[in-house]
Amino acid sequence: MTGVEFKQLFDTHFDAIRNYIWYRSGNPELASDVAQETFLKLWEKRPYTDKTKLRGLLFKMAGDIFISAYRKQTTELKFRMNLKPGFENRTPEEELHYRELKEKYEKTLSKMPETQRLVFLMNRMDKMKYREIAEATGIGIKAVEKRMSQALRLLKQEIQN
Amino acid sequence: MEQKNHIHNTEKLLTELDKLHVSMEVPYENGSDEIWEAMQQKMATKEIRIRRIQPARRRLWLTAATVAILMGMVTLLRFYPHTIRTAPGQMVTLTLPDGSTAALNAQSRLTYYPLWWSISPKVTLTGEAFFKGHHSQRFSVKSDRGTVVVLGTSFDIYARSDNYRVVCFTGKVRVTSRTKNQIVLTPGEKAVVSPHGDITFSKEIKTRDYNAWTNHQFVFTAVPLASVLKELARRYNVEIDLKKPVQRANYTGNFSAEIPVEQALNIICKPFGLTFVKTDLRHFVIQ
Repeated sequence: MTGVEFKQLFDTHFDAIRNYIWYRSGNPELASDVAQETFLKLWEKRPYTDKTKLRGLLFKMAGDIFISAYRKQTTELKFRMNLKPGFENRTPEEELHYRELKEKYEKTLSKMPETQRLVFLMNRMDKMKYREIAEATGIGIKAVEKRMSQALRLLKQEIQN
Repeated sequence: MEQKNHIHNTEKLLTELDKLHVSMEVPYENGSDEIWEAMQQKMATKEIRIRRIQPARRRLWLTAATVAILMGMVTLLRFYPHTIRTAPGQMVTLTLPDGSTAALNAQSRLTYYPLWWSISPKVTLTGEAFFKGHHSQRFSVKSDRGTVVVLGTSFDIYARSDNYRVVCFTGKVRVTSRTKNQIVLTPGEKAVVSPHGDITFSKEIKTRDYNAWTNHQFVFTAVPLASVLKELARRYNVEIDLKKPVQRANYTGNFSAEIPVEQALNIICKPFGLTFVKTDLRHFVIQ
């Protein structure tokens, strides 16, 4: 693997890997650390793997690093997100509505079991297809579907009331 | 607004959340570009570490391969053998790598390692041989019962299952038995090693009798009849059966080894009052 190839790999997958850990942990610093460590490890090992399998390998490595080094540290889950600039361009009513929705949404995500949250956010935020999620997380497509519907049920329940 | 607090169906909820997703981001402190920059340094150290390891590993393999090849070559040099055998009735004189000669009596075997000779000149002998060397040579002759280290000289070794005997003609030889008994022989001295490793030493013997075989002569001095017949059988490549047990039959006498076997048998049988019959082309029975 050359430096150029590695940079390409980094640009293509870094965000997805970092988000993956964030979805699991809710901790942005930890997600950045784990993602960086994952890529450094890949650079160090430079496995002669089929290029199409590298993405799956990255997810697997990130998950392993997260579990072995940081799992125990995670104390309280808080899914806080920032609103991007430009949000203010909406009408005041809309803005209020979305701020309220965001708050409820973040609370629900913190309550949601990790497996459901992971699947839901990968699908809705990273726009990953069910098949891609199944490959990255190592579960079946049926399980992805099931977790999605479970997550939706919880969201509906929490946000509507 | 109605929709403010009541989102009724799943589709609507998802649409709302997706609108939210578009304007939200995870509060990462650093963008991926900054992280890439930070990684560069760590990558460089890892790369250096890797580059250092790989040539070392390759060198290790090279070393291992070289050692293996060298060991193979040494083994070849050490154990590449040269063996000379003589059949019954056959005698051979050969030259050893150091220029000394070895006359091999009938039914004997001599082995040495020509490629290893300059490091350790060693000969293995079964049978009988007369060695004639230069004074600078210092090889050793190993047989079943003992080893003779040549301190430069000529000497005869008889190393068969029935006896082990060394006679020194000129110079000096050192005889060591399997049990580490040692004796140095000077000209005119003889050592006989028993199967148990004991060395019997005799002085002032007629050495010429002991290498007479190299001149195609039989010389027996009080030799048991059975041994005499065995020697005859070896030299003429025949089989001799002694059917009649003879008490205290030691034979003394000398005669040429170039006469026909019947004549030789006649000479030996007469003093004991024995007769022999030729039962086959190469088979004699003594009665």
